[in-house]
Amino acid sequence: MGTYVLRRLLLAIPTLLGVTFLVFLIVRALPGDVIEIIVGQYTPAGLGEEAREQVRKDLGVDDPFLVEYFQFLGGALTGDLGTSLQSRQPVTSEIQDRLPVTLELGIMAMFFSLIIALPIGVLAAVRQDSWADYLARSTAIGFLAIPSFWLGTIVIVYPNVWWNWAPPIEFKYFWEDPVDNVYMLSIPAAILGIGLAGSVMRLTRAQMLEVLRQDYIRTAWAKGLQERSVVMRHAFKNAFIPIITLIGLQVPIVIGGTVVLETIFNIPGMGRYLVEAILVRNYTVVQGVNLLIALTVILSNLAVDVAYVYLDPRLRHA
Amino acid sequence: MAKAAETALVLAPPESHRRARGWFRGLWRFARRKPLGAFSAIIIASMLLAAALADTQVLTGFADSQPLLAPDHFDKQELTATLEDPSWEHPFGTDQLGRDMLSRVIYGTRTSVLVGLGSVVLAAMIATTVGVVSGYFGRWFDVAVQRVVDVWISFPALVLLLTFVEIAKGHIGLDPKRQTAALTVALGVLLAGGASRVIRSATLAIKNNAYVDAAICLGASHPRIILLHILPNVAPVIIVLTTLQLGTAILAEATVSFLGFGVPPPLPSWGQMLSRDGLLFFRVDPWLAFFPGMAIALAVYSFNMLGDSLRDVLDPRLRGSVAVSSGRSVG
Repeated sequence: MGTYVLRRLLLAIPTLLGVTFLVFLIVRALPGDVIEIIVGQYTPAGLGEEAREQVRKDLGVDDPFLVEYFQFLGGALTGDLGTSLQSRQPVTSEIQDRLPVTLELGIMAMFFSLIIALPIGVLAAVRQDSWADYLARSTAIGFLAIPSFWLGTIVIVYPNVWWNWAPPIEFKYFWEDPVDNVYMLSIPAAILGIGLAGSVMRLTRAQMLEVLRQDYIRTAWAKGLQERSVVMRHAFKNAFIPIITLIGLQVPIVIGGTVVLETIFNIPGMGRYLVEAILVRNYTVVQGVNLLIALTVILSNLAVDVAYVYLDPRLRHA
Repeated sequence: MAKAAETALVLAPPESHRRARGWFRGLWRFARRKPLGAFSAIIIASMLLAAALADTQVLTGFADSQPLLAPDHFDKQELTATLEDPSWEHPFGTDQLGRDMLSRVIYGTRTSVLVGLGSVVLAAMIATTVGVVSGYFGRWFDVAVQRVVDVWISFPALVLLLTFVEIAKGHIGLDPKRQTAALTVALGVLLAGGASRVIRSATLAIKNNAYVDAAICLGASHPRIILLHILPNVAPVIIVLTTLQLGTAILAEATVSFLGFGVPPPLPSWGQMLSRDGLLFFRVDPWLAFFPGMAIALAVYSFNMLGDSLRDVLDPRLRGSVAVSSGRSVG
């Protein structure tokens, strides 16, 4: 197992380099006149050439290509992602304020998705081809088809029209008011969770059906074990391992989803930060957030691969 | 004897008839086995019809257009009839500028279908090339290509899409049609990464078949083996994947347009009709938020359902695999 983890870590290095290079290319792919617009946008007219130099330096588009890339890489390694063109604050510290919020939203969403999906998926498999199974399967496919931004809009508009109730939109940080914070985030988290639950539900059902046909399940039944014990201890534990992979694969989807839901519900997280930065051409921020997001995805994939081997004894001792 | 053979020849239906009947029988069998898949196929067919015949553009060769299936042009404003509830005159109501919502939803189908089909066809071409070549040649070449694919799929599609589209705007300017085209291309390139993985693993499985070894022994060239032995066997995977990705692409276009980065007004797009700017009007007329969302959900549902049914019929071995299953990769 040690060699596997080591190999997996080594394989992640070229990916990391590739990702940093792609992010680095984002700013360089901008046409020259856009950089001029940015200079005009962020430099007060009176400051002249000196301020223009400053913006070009912030963007890092002055030096030769490779020199810039290594400067960017060095900065990223030491946690220096440059200065926000708009606020003149370090991008790293702005991200530090927003990352916990998005993390909280994302984790809550995944939690909701599992609470919804796992029991229904297991039930659908145990009662295969019953009305409960059909209902669960159509619900799963329905969940996959409903856009979260539409669900979010509906939750904001319809209760307001019918019952004069609206979800809270004033954001409180967790350390300010934990109850209000969780209450406010739970609605967007549930919406995002519903979007994720469809796939998890389908995979849970498929995996459970497969495991339930194994010989050791027949043995468990033959021993006279109770249904609960067979389903939960013998079947579900084995069916859950591939589901972990899916949860790992869903990390990019969760991040995309937080962009949408943070925008709808006015949540000051990374997603809204990125959307706002793109809108005002604040490219140092766009670059920093993209890099961080890609790193998160790579690391979560790595964690999933390692967890997969660790959780499955057949692979652990291989 | 000769006479009998002659009559048989005359009586036998021509080849084209027989083939048509075979097709029809195949479709019928599919509908019997997968009623939901067939139902979805009907919805998709009506979507395609609505997209093509929303106005007479396709019939007149893009010269002149009169609304055909849509009651009105998508941008025709009637400022005396704004924010109306559904009625006989306007079955889906009207928006804040008095535009007929039914017409806008029908024209929106065209946008969804064009962006969806365009991006998915592009994705299939890129993914097939990359996946088959990488899987077929294997060794160091495969390892190198797969590291590039790693980078390709490490970014959340939505985040990269927003960034790409904004950069593209700097290059191509503000023309709505060109921006929509840029969105289509960006979406196609993004969808190709994950798809190439699936096609690669299908290629790996097929490469090990005895008939490929036989072809190599007979001295067949690599292009010949790829085109005659690998591609036809990977085709079912590509078909299923493409159908499922169409749902994803439509959802992605809607999401990006919702955020205000996608299809720009005045072009009609379902996602854009739901954008946050409309929130104020949705509170006055909740129907405004209902129909475009239903259209998106129905379209995505149909493509997912059809894709799943096709997968079960074309290649049951794929059932239950995470990769070739309807899912979502955006919002």
